[in-house]
Amino acid sequence: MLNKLKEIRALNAFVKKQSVGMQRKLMLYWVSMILVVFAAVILLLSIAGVFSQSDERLQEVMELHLKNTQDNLVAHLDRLTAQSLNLSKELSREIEATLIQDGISLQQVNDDPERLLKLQQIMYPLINATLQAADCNGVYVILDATTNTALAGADHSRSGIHLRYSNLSASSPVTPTVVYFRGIPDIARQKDLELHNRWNLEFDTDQIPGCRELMDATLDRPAQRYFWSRRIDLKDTWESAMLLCVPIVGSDGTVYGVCGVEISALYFQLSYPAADGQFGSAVTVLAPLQDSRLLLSEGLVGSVSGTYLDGQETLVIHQGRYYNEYDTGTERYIGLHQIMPISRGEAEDTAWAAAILIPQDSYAAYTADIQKAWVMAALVLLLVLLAFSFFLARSFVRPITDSLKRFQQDELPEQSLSSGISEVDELAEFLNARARNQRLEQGELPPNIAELFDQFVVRKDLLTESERNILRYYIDGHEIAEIPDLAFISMSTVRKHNRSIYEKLGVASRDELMLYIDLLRRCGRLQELF
Amino acid sequence: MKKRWLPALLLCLLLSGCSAAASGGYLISAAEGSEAYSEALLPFLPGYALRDGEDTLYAEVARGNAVACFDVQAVPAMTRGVGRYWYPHVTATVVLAVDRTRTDAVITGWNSLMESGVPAGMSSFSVIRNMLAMGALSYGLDWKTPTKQDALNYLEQLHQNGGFELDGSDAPVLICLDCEAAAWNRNGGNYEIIVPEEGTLSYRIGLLSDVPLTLEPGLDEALLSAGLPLAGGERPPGFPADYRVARTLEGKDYDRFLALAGDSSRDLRRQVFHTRLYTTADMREHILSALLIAAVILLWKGTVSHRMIRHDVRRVVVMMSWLMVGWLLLRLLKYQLPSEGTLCRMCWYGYYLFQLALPVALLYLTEILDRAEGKKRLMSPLWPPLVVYILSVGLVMTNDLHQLVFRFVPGGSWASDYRYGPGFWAIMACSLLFLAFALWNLLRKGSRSSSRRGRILPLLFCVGLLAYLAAYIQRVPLAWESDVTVNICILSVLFFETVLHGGLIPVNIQYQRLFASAPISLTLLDEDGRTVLSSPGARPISRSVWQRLRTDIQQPLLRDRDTQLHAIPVRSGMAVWQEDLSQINRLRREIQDVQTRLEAANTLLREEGEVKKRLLTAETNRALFEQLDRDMERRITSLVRLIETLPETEQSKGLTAYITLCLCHIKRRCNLFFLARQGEPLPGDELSMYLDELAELARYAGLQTLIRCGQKEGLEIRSASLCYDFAFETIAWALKEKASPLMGYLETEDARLVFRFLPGGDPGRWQFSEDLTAAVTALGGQIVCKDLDDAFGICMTIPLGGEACG
Amino acid sequence: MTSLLSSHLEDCSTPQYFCFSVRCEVCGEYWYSSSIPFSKAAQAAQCREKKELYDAIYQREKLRAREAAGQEARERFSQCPVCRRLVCDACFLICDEMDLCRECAGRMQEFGEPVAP
Repeated sequence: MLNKLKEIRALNAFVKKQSVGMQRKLMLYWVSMILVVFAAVILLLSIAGVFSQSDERLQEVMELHLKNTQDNLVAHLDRLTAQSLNLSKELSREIEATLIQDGISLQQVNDDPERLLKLQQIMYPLINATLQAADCNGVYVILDATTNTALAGADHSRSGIHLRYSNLSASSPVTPTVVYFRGIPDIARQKDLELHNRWNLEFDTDQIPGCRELMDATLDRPAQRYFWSRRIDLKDTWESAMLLCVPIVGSDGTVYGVCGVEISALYFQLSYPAADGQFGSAVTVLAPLQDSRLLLSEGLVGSVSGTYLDGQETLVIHQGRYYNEYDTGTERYIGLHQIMPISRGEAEDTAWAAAILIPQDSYAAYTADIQKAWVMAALVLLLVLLAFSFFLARSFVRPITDSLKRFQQDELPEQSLSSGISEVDELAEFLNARARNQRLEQGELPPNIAELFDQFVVRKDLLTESERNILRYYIDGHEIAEIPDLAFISMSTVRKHNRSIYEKLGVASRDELMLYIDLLRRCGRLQELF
Repeated sequence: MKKRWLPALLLCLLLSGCSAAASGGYLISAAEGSEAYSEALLPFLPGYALRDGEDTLYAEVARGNAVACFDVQAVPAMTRGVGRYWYPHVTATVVLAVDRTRTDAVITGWNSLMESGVPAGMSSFSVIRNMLAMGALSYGLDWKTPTKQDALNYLEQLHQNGGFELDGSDAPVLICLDCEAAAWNRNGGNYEIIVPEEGTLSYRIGLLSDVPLTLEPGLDEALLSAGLPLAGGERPPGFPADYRVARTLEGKDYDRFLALAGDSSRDLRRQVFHTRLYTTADMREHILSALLIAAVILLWKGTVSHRMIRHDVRRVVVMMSWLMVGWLLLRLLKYQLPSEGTLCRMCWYGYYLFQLALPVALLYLTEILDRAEGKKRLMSPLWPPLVVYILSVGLVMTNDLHQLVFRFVPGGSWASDYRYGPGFWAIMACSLLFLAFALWNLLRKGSRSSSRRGRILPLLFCVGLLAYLAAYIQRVPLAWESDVTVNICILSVLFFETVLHGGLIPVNIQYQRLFASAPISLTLLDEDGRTVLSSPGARPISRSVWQRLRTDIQQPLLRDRDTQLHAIPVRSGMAVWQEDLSQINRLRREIQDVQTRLEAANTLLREEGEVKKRLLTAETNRALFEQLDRDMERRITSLVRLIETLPETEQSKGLTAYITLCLCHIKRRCNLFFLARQGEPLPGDELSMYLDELAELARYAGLQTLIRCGQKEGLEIRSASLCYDFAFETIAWALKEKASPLMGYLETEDARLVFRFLPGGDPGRWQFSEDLTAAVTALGGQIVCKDLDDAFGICMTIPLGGEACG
Repeated sequence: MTSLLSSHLEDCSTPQYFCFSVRCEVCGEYWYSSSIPFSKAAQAAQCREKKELYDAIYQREKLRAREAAGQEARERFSQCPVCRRLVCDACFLICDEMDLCRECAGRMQEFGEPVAP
């Protein structure tokens, strides 16, 4: 371990001693600064909770949505319940009045089609009014009497009227047509109503669970016991609906029948469309809750577009911190649910819940989207900053290196080269001054000068004849500009020779060369050059 | 023998191989909706295995497989000869299935569906099912004369009412087959099956095969228990009871059905949904349009790249066009792939290889516009886009691993149900950034350009681009529904053409041909003196020469003794050509040579002339002396003889006088000889003096002589010397003969010179010397001795005149 | 060197500017000095009366331009010590023993690098 540390230290020292180019160093500093800033920013962002806020937001959004939905549902159902109760009261009054008028009891209405017709004629306006006013797609009333007790299924066949809207579709909002679903057809003819193509004269009370019990019970007032049925299929049709069953209670406590409103699955779908948010489509569900399971097949499901729900599943609920998970077995949904009481005096202990569901895939995709976007942005930013730093470093360093290179070549006589950087200019001045001073200084050879001289003299053997010729001119004290006149060669030739002379003798400029020559002359060693 | 067996054996093997394929065949469901039927059927069809269809219906049947399909597929196939055996078992009717958990609308048929306003859809969008539905709808709406247009109008209206989607398998109302709906109900659905009361069609599902099939008994029960209604009319529970309005097709109806329902997908798209009005909507149109556009792009590339001088711009054009063509071909390939598997997805990713490269190419183009060609290295401003492009492509290609770019459910329908991830937006942003840079560059360089077009065209392009983007965002149908690929290609081409026509690239068609064929060395320089184009053999232009040319472009310049440079300014640079002066110089030198030589030759000739003249003079002198010698030889020899005989003779005085006379004669004769060479005439006085001299000497010799010269003017020397010779010979004779006195007269008569002598004796036998006679005859004269009355006369006549021919 | 060059300077001046050229005796190519415009070119072209004055100024400026051209040429031309010809930098080789022109170096098998490529 210690050895490793020592090695690292040694490496560090070694690296420090190496002379690295300016550009590289600058780049290195830039890069480290950028990385540090980056790390700091990321730390800040994660502390600020930028990365983990989607779950909380989802929870907020869903809670809000659920509250809204629940409020809507509660209001809707409450209103319907109130209207149904009102209807029940009015119906009971009318029926009682009629019965008293005729002096019969309800039992005697059985097997009496004319009386039934009269009763139905009395009931019809009320039902029609309720249908127009209520936010549902059907209103019905079932009397505890039947037309023909002698028939086979007479014990579960009861007379009544059921009016429904037809042709509901989201694209045509105008007044839907009323259709006569159950009831004595004379009324339909009188009121010029269409008969449903699955019209039947009487109701089949077996279809509606809990209806018979309600009719057999003894109640004081309608509001004592009413319930929303689970979703049932309407007989002979392909539609299913939830029925609100409110008893029609007479003043003596007998139940004349059951009335209520109908909300079909289609109507519920159209009324509660799927809210398409950034997390996915949110589906509204009103379903019974049993053993932490939502039974969708017995409740109503809003529009399922954007999800794979088909309204028949049973969802297993897993509680979570921000939201719950609902598992169909093949798919998962996330959302929230809330219990809402919609029935009174229910026989079984069922709890109804309103829930909103979002497909987990879309949420996961959303979060993945966000994460990917963050990562991509960070990478792109990093790359851009690196490139930027590279270009900046280069543009900073380039003038310096250019002017330094110009120093090295130095063919022009000592003019002031302005490189645009004050330090380099000062250095140039200093070097020039020093060079000048060196020539003016007398004597004092430092100890390694002799070695330099020796090297210089040795190198002179590398020169070719023609170069030596030019060198002789320099030794004799001529300037570069005089050489073409003396040697009868062109200036370009002179320059070329100069360059190779400098290179071979290892000097950087003419000044250095003249310095060497001068010093050699002073030491008396000039002869060695020939 | 064995050899002949071999081919037969092979043939048998082949055939048996074929039939083996047929006997262990496959049962293939060729139509969507017939899978349940095939599964139920399989146990009753021995020897067949169930398999998915890989090929078209016809091909599968031809291979000997049994195909489960609808009657509207099978019956037309059989009329065309594909498949011979048709076993229908199941009926399927087109019905309306209403999801009662979602709606409670009252729907009884097609019209009530329209009125109810409930959204409807088709349960399947495969081609065959579209056809079935369209056919059923047509027959339903109009029983007697079904037309396609009715069905399309119905669907269009349904769609406009907000209700009809093609792929609406989650709509509340579905148009589907009754067996399908029943199957849904069995699986927990709550669909009401409604047979449309206006009417519909029932189709048969059965087996089509080339070979007869043997089916085991018990098939009907199995089909019923599988929930499929039989062709005979029995239906399992769960089906509606009333099927009276459903009609089945027969015989000729099939052709009408095919005419009705053909092209249903395309018609649905075009007429009902009004989608893809500006793009391809079915298989047929893809191939042709893609190939056409690719051909147009290549044509464009060809025309443009020929106009380019600069190679790097040309390379950009070529690359861009190949990118576009590649993209189109890849898209074509992808559309041809039947199944949407990994290869299809890879092709889709491959689009982005091309799509992202185009902005980078445009950026590269705008960067190199005003730089010099020839820099091999890519410039530093362009490395980042290239790197980003490569990273983007890598990201897209590996999307399956990280799903950052496209997000879809793996294994699901990725083609229609995918979303864009953050990577996609980043890549698109980068690409659009490059495009924006390129546009910015274009605008900047355009605004600096000198021509007006260069300033306006980039602005126009930007305006057009913005208009297209705005239209796309506003979903204007022309922009929204037209093919994005083709639009991007068109925009890229327009960008390039803007650059071109804005004058930002030097473009010239003629330069290259000019340069290639210029016999003079032509070089094109740009504004910085760099060579852009040069013809073969042109030497590079040095910097000092270029600077000089730039200063004074009018003046031609000597590059070296033999080359002269001329320059003219051209747009963004100058053109320089070299004129070869070597011939002229050589000629000049030759002329100079010849001139020198001629001068030297002249000098020589002149010297030669002078030498010749001297020689001639010497020669003449020599000849003269020789002649003189000859002339005088005779006389001198006779004189010498006389002088020798002088001491021996007694008449010394006469002889001496005679010798003196001879000497004088010789002397004077020599004088006359030399005078003759000089060519001057002898004055008459001088001749008379000579003659007098002769006479004087003759007197000393004892001869009385009187010679009178009547000639006063100058005489020809020849004539004078002849006269003198004549006079001497006459005197000599006279001396010898002692014929004194001697009288002589010399005078000119007409054109003749006459010299008469009157000797005092008879010249009789005396002959003059031959020389004299010959000379006189040569001159054309004569010597006559006349006998006068009391005297004798000697007369010499010489004609006068004429020059002495010397 | 300067006097050698000035004797080789050929005058390519026009009334508007001064320019001189030197010819390399190996490759034969001309090198031109930078053209120095005559400062009084416009005035000289216009005023005919002051012709002698502007001529004198022209000559004076031409002398200076000639000197400048000589200095410029000094940068680029050398004299080969063997054949003593004036040589441009592209034809002048730096060899080990001595710097020679291309042809002399080739003839004497000396190898070197040209001063300007």
